[in-house]
Amino acid sequence: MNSIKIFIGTFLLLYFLSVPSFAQIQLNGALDLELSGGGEHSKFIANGIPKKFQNYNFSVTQLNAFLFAPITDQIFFESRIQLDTWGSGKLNPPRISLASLTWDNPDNPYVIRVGRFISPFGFYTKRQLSTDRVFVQHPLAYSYFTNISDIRGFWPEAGNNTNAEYEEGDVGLPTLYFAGYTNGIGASWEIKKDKMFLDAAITNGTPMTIRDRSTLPNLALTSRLFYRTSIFWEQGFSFSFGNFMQADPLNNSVRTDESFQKYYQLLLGTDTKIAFTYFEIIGEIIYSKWKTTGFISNQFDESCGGNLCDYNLSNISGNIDFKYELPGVTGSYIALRAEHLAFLDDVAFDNPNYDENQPDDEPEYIFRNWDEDVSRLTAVFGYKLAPNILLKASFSDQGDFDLSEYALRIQLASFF
Amino acid sequence: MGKYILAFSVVFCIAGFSSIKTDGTNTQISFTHTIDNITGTVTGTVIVPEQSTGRRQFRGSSYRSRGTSASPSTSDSNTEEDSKYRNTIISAHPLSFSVPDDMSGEPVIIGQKDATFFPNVTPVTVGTIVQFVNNDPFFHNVFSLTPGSKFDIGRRPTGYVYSKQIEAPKWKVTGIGPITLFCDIHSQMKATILSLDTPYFTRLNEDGTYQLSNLPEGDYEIRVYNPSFEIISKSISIQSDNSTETNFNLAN
Repeated sequence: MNSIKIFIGTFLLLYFLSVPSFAQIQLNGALDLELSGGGEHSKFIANGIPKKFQNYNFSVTQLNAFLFAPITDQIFFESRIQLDTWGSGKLNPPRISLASLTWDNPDNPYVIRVGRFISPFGFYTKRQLSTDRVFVQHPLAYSYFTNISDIRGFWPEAGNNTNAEYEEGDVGLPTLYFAGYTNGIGASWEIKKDKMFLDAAITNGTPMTIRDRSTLPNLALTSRLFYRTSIFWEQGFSFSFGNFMQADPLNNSVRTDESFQKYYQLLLGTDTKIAFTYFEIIGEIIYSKWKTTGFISNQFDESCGGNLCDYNLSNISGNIDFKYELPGVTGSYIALRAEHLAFLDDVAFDNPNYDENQPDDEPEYIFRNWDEDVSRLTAVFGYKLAPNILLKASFSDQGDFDLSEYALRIQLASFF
Repeated sequence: MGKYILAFSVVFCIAGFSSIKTDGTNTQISFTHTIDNITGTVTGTVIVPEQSTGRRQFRGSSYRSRGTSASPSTSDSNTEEDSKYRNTIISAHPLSFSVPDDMSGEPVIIGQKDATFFPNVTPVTVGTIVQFVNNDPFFHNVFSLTPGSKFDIGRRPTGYVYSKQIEAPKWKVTGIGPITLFCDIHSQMKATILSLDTPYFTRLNEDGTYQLSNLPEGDYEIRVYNPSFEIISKSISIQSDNSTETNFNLAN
């Protein structure tokens, strides 16, 4: 109940802060209802279904309030206040997931925004609203939690190996934050009218950062180049590089102000959209590389000469979505997604006594899997009950495809 | 004698239909009555209050992929063809005589430019063919979920003309069937085809005035449609060669 009061209070506060442009303020909302259940190994961080709600559960999964307030004819403020059940399956406290000032002059090709906004990286970050999404869930790169934590670094007990639920503490992070928001300053440039666009942002963390504020002076550069090669074919290229580690009492003993700044995440991505008449095919490949600390056997790995050991980890993911709108049943579609997330071998130095000044001494390396690969198949049937009311029935299975991690969701997404 | 009257009526009908002009920007349609050609005129003004345009939905610029040049500020701007006046249609529905079953006119074009439908409201008679033309260098789609007139033309490239015959939808008010159009790719795009059971209709002028001329003598219900307001109407009688003034206020 308190959550709802805070939600309404925050929204009213933002509303009245925009009084100078009161007459033009636009208010909208979004509401998602969902009946969902999953297999016996369900976890929010794996298949999106919290363990305790794996036996079918009906819930309001999201309630959003959107506010748009023009300040001048070129500057506007926009915000999203969000109440959702992400992670726990229960209502979380409301939060401001979007709050940005944007300068957008229609007569020039530049847009500048500052505040909390959507990261430019990737194809799916722009598809945050359920009514805009073909599938219920984001691809693995955006939703599957890895064995990397922003306070521990590489942590084998995270991700698929944790028994903890999302709301119970550190469980690792997905390669990209599933909600896609980031903080900083961003700009868009329409390089070639209707053909080529560049989005770039300087933010307080790479796109995997979930926190809305950084506890370290982190910095990241993220960009996406969009090119419409022809009307049938759109191509995007994404890049990000920067810090992602966070200060925490857990790492106080091993962290100096500067030491964590050397750890980074590098992201490269490309996405393709090919469409014609009733067909749409979307594919995206994302490569991520981390340089990070290691947290092994409940302590930071300081076996490298008494210093923190560096881990160079990487993964690559790809998904292909196929959508077909059924022309005989207006408003309906079927869609299939096949995706895979592969964790590339970690090359570790395994000879602590190696001395490069000794001619007979040779370094030894070991190759080890730092996380388990995962595949997922998803099928969706969607039907527009009204232009802004979309009913989706989604079934997915992943991992060993033995139904232990299946997820069934029937979602009613509305925008008003 | 009866055959001659029938043949004469058919020829008269054909001549009458051939004079129907229903392009996307028409403001006046002419139609020759099949019973007699004694006509009158209805003129008047319509007060259209300031309103939200129905494209008020805000999905946030943040959520809109910058795959189009059209920013919210440009796509929501009111052009001459998309003003509160030009989106208002006045139609005269005969009460004392019947109009022919087939009133379909010449094809009407609805364009898509800068991620906007134009015109925003397109009045047509039932049976008329509407041609959707994508004038943008990126894909558009047109779909409608209006009961009785559901369709989805899928994604269509630049310059592609898709023709669709407008059937009688489920009337909102008998004789007036708004068919709401959307683009599945650009959620801010919205427009209306106003399907009418009468060939007598016109678009409101920019100064709020209208004129319906060449109306056959008889009783009519004059209806005013604007997508942001309820349909309002008044009953009138048209006498030969007379001009009748009928004013409306959509705020009422």
